[in-house]
Amino acid sequence: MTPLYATADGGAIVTSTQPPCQPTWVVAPFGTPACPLSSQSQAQLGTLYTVDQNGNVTSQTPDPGAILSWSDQSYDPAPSVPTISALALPAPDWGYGAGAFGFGSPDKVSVWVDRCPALDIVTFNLAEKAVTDLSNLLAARACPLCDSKVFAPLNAQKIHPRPEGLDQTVFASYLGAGHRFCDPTMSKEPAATIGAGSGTIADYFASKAGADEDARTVLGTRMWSYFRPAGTTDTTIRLDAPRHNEAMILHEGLHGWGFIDGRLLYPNIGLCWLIPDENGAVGLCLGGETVRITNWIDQEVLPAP
Amino acid sequence: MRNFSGPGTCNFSIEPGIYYNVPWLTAITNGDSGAAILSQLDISTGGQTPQPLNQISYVSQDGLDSQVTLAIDPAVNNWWPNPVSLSLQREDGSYIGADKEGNLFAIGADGGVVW
Repeated sequence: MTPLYATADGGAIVTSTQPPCQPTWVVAPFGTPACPLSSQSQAQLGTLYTVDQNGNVTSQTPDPGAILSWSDQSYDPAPSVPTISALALPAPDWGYGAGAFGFGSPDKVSVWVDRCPALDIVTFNLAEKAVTDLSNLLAARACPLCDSKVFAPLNAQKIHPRPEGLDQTVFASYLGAGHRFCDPTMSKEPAATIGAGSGTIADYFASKAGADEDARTVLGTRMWSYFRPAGTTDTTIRLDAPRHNEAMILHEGLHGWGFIDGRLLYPNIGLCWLIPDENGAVGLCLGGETVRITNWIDQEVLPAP
Repeated sequence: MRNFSGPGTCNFSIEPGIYYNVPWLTAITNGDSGAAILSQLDISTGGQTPQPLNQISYVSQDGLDSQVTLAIDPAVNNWWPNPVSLSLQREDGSYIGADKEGNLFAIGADGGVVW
């Protein structure tokens, strides 16, 4: 049995797949055979097991031998052909900390990478409250302006890739699928994950200090966001403005649900496209979009507390 | 004295008649603090039955911080032919690993068995 991922709920995903025995594995540095001398030259696929925090098996499925990418996509190594193909497997809900991946990272190079350093407790509590409150609000369909000012216009223009469309219920389900909130100032995750070039996310956020770049979200089936520590800027999680924080969750959640920088299907149309000007016209992006979007959602979309 | 008693096993003696086997060392991260080194020793004294000793040594940039002994059952998780390895660290600092027979376990940072 080989542990693959520590999961966010304290459990793990493990596999009974037997890896191929490479010649260099036969004798480990201190002499112990790492796999039998008669072992196979190709992996013998087994079963993927999910175990809970107490070690109980909660589910199992045949292990296709998929390779996980840094973007949580699964690929078939297809050893018989010179190409690989994507597999439609659910992304593992890997946990916090540098030890969440076997061999340290998705590419298993024994470099231990803390992809999602946990938020400090103040930021964590504020972000958790915001996502819970927003999820409850939308699940109760208590934000009619979310539909009329945000979700319906996006549906009408089809500037999102999801066939199911978007409304309060759909977005509440997205938020309810779990989330991963991380501290970007310490993350060794490749900046490419958030579409921010080379280096690490920590490098990127250090380079953007004071530049209205205080949150980034990864496109995916569950919300995975990086927030600067609360109170350090006006545009990250705020210490005393819960509705602003809910607006920030909605803003970032829209990126995670279907937009990469808000420009997935229609180039040059971002979420700022939703904000009307003083004459009520939409489709204008006037600059400073990030903070304008959050403030607009805060002041013009979410119901007053 | 140093001798090889079989494939993959290295014996050496620090004191006459007492043998220490160091068949297995693995390293894993310890959060942001450094690394945890799992060493599996087998201590033999004269003709006595080998006594396995599984330890985690926590090291950081400044050197050795602490050592704990794993409370795993040596009858099940003996050093040979059943070395264990630590593969994952959970958010609470405990580790998930497996032995060579495929048995999964979780141990706390203090070496105690969680499951």
